[in-house]
Amino acid sequence: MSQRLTNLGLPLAFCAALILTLPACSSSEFRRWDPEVVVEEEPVDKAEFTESITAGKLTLTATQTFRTRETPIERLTLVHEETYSDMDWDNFGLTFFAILGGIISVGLYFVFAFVVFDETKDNEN
Amino acid sequence: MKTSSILFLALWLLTGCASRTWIETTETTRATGPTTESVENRRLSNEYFELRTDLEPDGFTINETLTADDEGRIVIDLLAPALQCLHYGHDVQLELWSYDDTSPVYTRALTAEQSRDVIREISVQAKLGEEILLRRKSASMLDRVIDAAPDQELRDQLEAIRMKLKIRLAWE
Repeated sequence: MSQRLTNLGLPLAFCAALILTLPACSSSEFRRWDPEVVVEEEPVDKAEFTESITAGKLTLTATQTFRTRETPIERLTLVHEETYSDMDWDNFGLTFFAILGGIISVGLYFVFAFVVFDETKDNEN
Repeated sequence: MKTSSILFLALWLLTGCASRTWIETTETTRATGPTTESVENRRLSNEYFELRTDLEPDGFTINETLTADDEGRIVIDLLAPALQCLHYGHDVQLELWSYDDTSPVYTRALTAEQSRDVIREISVQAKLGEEILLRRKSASMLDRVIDAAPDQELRDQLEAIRMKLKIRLAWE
């Protein structure tokens, strides 16, 4: 029974892992329409200058008339999302020892809780 | 063995997956509303202009790059053109050129009388302690105008300017 469970469970677990990880290691494209305004500008006539002279300096103020056309549009924007493998041994070691450290910590908790500080053993004594 | 392999594979997948997102802007657009048109008169801010004066027979001319500020103001120091006017003995034409146009966008003549007013106003500032900036070639012209000054009043004014003169460097 145990052997059958192992034989069935392992391939199923492997498939589940594949199903869970495959979408992550892929790429997708999302289309988005972003609003913006197209502005076209053209001068209507020549620049005009108003002048003033003070303290030996001539100050000109330049103004010009412009015709402005504004058209609201939407621009197609593609949002690419890609998941890729950049595995290296540093990351692998880090993850491996993090998991190992977690298992050891939990294990140590139970060792101290139920073996070293065993209340029932104390009561017996 | 199988368990170890699966654990190894799971760890591999767990450590090796990274994701990145980037945005690509396309040229595809669609109009979403009508075009609105408006006409407005506004100040030309942060525009570049070039000031030029008459070219003299000895090659002297004033050529300065000027920038309009945020309010569209262009400030032209009239001391150098005034000195040119007094030294060469004729009205000096000030021309403002835009880099977009093939003809001057603004012209103005500086007469001998106006030049003397400019010298008088700047000499007052010099007497009050303000530094007077001039290009090297205009500064050497100042000496020649002092030597050839027709009256004492103008000579005194020019001397006052000379006392506070500071050479304006090429990059300024």
